[in-house]
Amino acid sequence: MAGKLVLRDCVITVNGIDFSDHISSVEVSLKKASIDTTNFSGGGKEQKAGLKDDEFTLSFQQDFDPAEVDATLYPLYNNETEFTVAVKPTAGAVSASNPLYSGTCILLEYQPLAGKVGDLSDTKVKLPSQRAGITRAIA
Amino acid sequence: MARSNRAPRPTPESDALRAEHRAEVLVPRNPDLLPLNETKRTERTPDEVEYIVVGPKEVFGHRRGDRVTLALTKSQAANLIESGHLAVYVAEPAVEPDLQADVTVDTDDTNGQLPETVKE
Repeated sequence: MAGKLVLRDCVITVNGIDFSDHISSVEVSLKKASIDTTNFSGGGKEQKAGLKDDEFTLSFQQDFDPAEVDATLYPLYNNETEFTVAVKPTAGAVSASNPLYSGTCILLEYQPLAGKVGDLSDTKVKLPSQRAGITRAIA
Repeated sequence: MARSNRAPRPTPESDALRAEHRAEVLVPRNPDLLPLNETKRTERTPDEVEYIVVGPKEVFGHRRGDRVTLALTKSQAANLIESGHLAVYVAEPAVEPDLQADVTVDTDDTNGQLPETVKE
């Protein structure tokens, strides 16, 4: 893989389960809190990086069949357990040009059903990472 | 006679007892009392268990029907089993060769009588 990437075959696993065929959009957000350290030594603001606040945002195409989207997400929400989420840009092996972003997450909000008549039933979930945040692996 | 408030002189036995007690205090056996760097938030490394993939989706890269040995935490295993992706693999009991020999089917339908000789 080289050059500009058109997203075609992202691989997204939630709790070890490959949901690439039921996810239509993915966001990997890496954030750190901004700690204001502005002082009199300049003419502008100064900031330092604070705690990590990384999260994955996934749009699932809802499926109520056994062992599909709802059957997987509801226990994660209801049992309040932590699970791993991993995303890589293409189906190829993990490498410097196909990095794997992964983290231990928790599901705090889940909307099993929302939509208008005639719409595809989809559900957007935010999966905030715990403690170490989202890590990037290239091997 | 005035009573002495002094502690009795330490003996080797009392020293050993004291050392054991100190070790218990310093290294708590209860996992809830572990120091923060040995955090209890993450569950201990679990034992490996053999599962079978029963759902339609790939689980840890394995497809339906695959037998896979995984070291899952209790909560991970519970979620994956509850959501129908995995089942604990239970091997069917193997029949011992001696028993197999005992259960040979008697296909002789002559009820112990000798078959009639074919007359020419």
